[in-house]
Amino acid sequence: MNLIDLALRDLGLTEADMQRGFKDVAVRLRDGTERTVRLSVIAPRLRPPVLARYIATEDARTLIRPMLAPDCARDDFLDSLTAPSLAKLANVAIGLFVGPENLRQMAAQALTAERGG
Amino acid sequence: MPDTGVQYTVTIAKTGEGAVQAAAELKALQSQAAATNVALGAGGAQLAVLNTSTKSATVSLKAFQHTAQLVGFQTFPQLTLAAITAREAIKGVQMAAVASGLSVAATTGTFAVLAVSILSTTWAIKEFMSMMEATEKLEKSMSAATSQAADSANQLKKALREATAEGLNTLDPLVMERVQKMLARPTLQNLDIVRKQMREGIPAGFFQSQADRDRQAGEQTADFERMQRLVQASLEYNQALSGFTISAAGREQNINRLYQERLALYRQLHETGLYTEKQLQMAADEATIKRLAGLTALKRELTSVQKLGQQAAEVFASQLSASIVQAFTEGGEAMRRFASEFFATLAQMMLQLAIMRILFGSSGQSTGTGGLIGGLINKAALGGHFALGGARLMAGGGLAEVTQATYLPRFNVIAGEAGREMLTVLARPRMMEIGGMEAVVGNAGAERLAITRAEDLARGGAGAGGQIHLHVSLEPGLRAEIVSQSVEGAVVRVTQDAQRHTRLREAIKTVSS
Repeated sequence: MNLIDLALRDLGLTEADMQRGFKDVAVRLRDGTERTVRLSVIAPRLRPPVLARYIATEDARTLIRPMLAPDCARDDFLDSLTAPSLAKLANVAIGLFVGPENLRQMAAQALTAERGG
Repeated sequence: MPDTGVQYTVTIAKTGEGAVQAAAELKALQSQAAATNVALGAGGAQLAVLNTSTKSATVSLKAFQHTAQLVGFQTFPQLTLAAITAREAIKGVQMAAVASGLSVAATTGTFAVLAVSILSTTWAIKEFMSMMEATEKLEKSMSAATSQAADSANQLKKALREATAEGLNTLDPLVMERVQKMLARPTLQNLDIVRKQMREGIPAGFFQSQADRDRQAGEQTADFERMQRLVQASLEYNQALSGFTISAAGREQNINRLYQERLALYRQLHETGLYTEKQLQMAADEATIKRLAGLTALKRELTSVQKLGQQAAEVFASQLSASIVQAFTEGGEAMRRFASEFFATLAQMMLQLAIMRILFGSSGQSTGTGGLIGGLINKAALGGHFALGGARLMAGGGLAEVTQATYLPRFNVIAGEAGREMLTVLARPRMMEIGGMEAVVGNAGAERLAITRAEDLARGGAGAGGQIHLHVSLEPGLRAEIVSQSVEGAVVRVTQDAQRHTRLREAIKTVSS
């Protein structure tokens, strides 16, 4: 199992999450505490501008923010997350955009490209 | 925006390639992981040695830092004693590292986990070592400096005499006496005092030649820059020890602060007569360039991948290095827990990196992600006409080239995500047939441009290709004979133009009448 497989397994994103419309993600804050935040699927018509903004800013918070409950969508909360937790949320967010199978494909393609395939 | 009611067409012609850089960066991150694996595989002994070495180095460097800070706030001629103390401190650091079985350089090369911390420390040492070397050179040139001091003293004596003769010397007699005593036994130190005293009693610029002023200004600016480097080294050294990293905003603030301080120094030099107006302007321009270069470098440095790399480095350098040592100490379950947590952390960041490269850098076609991401962003990377959901396409006009993912807020468009791309904005577009070729014709700024198939254009039109040679003879009835390669349209045009009231018919009439 490579690290990408490990990451995908750790995300635990399933089709059932897609149908349910949200995914609860365990995150760690910089002060060492842990908590669970919920990322909710957003309407398809809203996805292109959100993704466009993410691509433009390269800031994972722009991707995650619209999918969080208001109390978690604040900058002070997002800034309090550890870097790996922010990465994990961004990965789940993309997974909720494209679905778990497509996310798996994307990761596989990245690995193929990395191996020069 | 003007003409917002007009329809526009945006066309992107994709010419670049994508995933090569992604692969390289992914490899770099993986190699970091591999290096960590090597360190883990090597067992606890090496890490224990490293830990001891780091602790010893830290204690020595802490002592060294205080000395260094003192050094940083001295001007160069007064540096010698403090520098010698600092040099001893450096020797102590090196000895501590060697005593632990590792040289500083070897430590840096061996352990990727603490690379950030060690590198920063090594850098700080290098910086101070170069300063030490400069100090040694100064010591060697002390005798030369003594004769220089005598020359300067003679110049100052002369200036003082001239100022007194012209009635411009307003120095207090007691001060004057002290100045003359110091001029009788000149040293670099007391000459500075003399200059300061003379500046208070004699109008600025009277007793100084331009060369003196330039030299003095040069010394002050060099001192300023040296002090800034030392402050920076001290900051980076503290970061390395604490694992604390200054944010991008903080670094931008530092760049701007340095710029303002440089300007303040240059203004001060101007006010004291050491800089002319022109020199002030040039120095200010230089400061602006340095500031912009700093900001540009910072922006470039903080691209997504580098931000990830920076975060990864932070994780390696701060949390994980301590965990590794602890895990090896405890062994067993703790080691398994650590490894699980460590790789899960690394894995999430690698996955994000992979997704980002797919989103930002790779070619939709070559990696086949067009179906995934292209569907979401309306296949912007696949060329052709597109508009994102809710996008307002506004007037811009003209052509533009982008070489990296670029967000065009006026168009709500991402371009350049698949490599080099040319943007064409055509206002008032309409389909036209030109020489048998179908084309979209529209206004691009002040020009009218047409977009058509390159193959048709290469053939010279959608119909027959090649050149056309016509022979027109003025025999009765007027005859145009095609002598090689025919284009139907051309024959028709000549025939029609000759039959109607056109310039061609007028020309024929003139010749034939």
